[in-house]
Amino acid sequence: MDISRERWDDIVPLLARKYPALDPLAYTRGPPAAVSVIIRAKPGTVITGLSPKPLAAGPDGTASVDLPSPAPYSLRATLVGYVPVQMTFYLDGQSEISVDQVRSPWLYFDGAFLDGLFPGVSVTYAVPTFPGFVRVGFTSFRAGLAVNQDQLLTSLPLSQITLLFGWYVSPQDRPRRFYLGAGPLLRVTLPPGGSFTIDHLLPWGVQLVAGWEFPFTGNLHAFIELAPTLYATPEPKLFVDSFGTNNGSPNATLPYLNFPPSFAVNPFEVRFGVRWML
Amino acid sequence: MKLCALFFLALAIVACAPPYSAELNAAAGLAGQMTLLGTMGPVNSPDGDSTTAIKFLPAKPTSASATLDQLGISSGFLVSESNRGESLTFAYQSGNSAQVLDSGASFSLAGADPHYPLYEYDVITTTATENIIVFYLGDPTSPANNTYQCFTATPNGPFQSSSPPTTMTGLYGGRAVLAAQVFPLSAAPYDRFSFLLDPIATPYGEGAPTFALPAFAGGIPTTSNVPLLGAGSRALYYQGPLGSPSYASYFTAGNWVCFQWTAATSSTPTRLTGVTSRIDAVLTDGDLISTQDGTLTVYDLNGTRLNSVPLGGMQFCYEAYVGATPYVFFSLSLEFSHQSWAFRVYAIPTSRLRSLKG
Repeated sequence: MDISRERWDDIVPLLARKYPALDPLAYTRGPPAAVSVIIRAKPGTVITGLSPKPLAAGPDGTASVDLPSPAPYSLRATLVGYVPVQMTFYLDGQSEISVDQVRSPWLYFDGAFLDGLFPGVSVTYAVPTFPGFVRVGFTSFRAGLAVNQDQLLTSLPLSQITLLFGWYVSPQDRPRRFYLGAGPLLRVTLPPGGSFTIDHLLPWGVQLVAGWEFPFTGNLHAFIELAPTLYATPEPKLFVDSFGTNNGSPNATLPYLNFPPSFAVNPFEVRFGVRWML
Repeated sequence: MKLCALFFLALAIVACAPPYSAELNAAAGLAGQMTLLGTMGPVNSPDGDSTTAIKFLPAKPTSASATLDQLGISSGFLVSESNRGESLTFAYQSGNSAQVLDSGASFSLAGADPHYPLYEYDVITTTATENIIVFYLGDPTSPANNTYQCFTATPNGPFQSSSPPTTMTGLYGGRAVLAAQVFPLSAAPYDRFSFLLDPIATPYGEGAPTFALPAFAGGIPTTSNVPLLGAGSRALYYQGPLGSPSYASYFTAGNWVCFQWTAATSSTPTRLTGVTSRIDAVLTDGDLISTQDGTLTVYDLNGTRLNSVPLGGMQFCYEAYVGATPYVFFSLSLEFSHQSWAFRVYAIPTSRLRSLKG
């Protein structure tokens, strides 16, 4: 069976009458021709992807480049203090392209849970000149859920203060970013019947942090961090043995480490929560 | 990526808080003024999660330990309490872990007087094995039922009673024993024992036996004319370092009182009005100490209060000589999760108790 004849032969004349044919000039432009394009961006913005050498927006906020048109292009615009922009456009005779740049958030507020769901907050200052950050954190062990403890609800008169120096490994315009950091922590306590003091079992430590941050909603990001911690302790053996799981028997299968006479490592510290970026 | 997130989330949920010891923090101020001799444990709670109190009594120093540095804490006795009664176990360090031996004995607390310990656990100095003697001094209606029982332990076992509970009425011609004191002696292989005797038909008396554990050889009353008004069938009794003066501390009419006497004044004991708390020991320098309500109070031999500091959970163990120097030993019980306990042992020269700061 001749399908085209069956399907279309009766319809084509009707369409031809309804929609007159275009003039050939309407869809034939000939070969692409170079046009001068002005890229508008914040002064000092470095633009790559349009020319062999990076372009820089001058004090007037423009950079000029000759580009064949029509053609699709993509550029990347970076400027200290602003979120890098990855932009794709189709150049079709326009003389200007504007890059929409957003100032980088420099202040982060975290709400998080540490280990057995002990709540904490932290404030991060993101250094504008490079992808580093400084964070001060506070975690309270006064109320939390600890699934593998003797009691589900665990309350300790203990707080932890952390200082973290970090570095984002991933660029800022990536939706998922990884970062690394390290810094000291201090544990303070108000024991029943005692006075406010530095904790004597684990007074201080040093954390290494590997974190993963991803969009949650709006300015909120979610994050999760693994933070193996080296603790100073007068009882490193007790530290390790106290993670026993068999009615007090030391659990040799878990890689908690002690370095007598003064240090022990908990490799399983985990923190997760949400991050509000301003 | 989702799997990765789930992994971290699971890790977060199963992770637990780093160890914390409220006891260590509460006692930190006092501990800093003492010498830490060592840590025992962790060990499983002898009574599981029903343990309500626990105390570690380290093995007593032997004459081989001339200084604190030579004194390692590698074993000791655990007295734990639950709603079922008290139990006695022996803990010792074996390699990297602590082991516990059960004596098999249980000590019922039925009928206990809330003001007095029903049992007194006294670690005693001996030459060969590690011994603890348990005095049962709590039957107010029949003090003749008061007994003693000696337990002998060696690391790696066994830990057992070397004698069945033995009534003490046989020591002094049928007189019941109401209180006992174990006192350290310098350069002696054994401790000194002394007893307060039943007042039935006569005033209270005192006596000292010949030491021959596991059994005491009989002795004779040294005094028999001590009137202790209101003491009834329960009191705590001590002798000074040279056997004099003597002290009785007891609860009467809602208060703790303390009386002092010598052989010459035994018929008219002097009430030490400055002492208003329970006396737990008389030390080798003649001072009296109380640990009532978690506060260490030091009195001189005439009952004048010299010092008072909160113990922060530390528990008085005993006084003992290390070389020629008497030390007071304390233990601190540290509770961890999963019904496990560890114990730190501290010592301080007896002479420095007066200057301890809270």
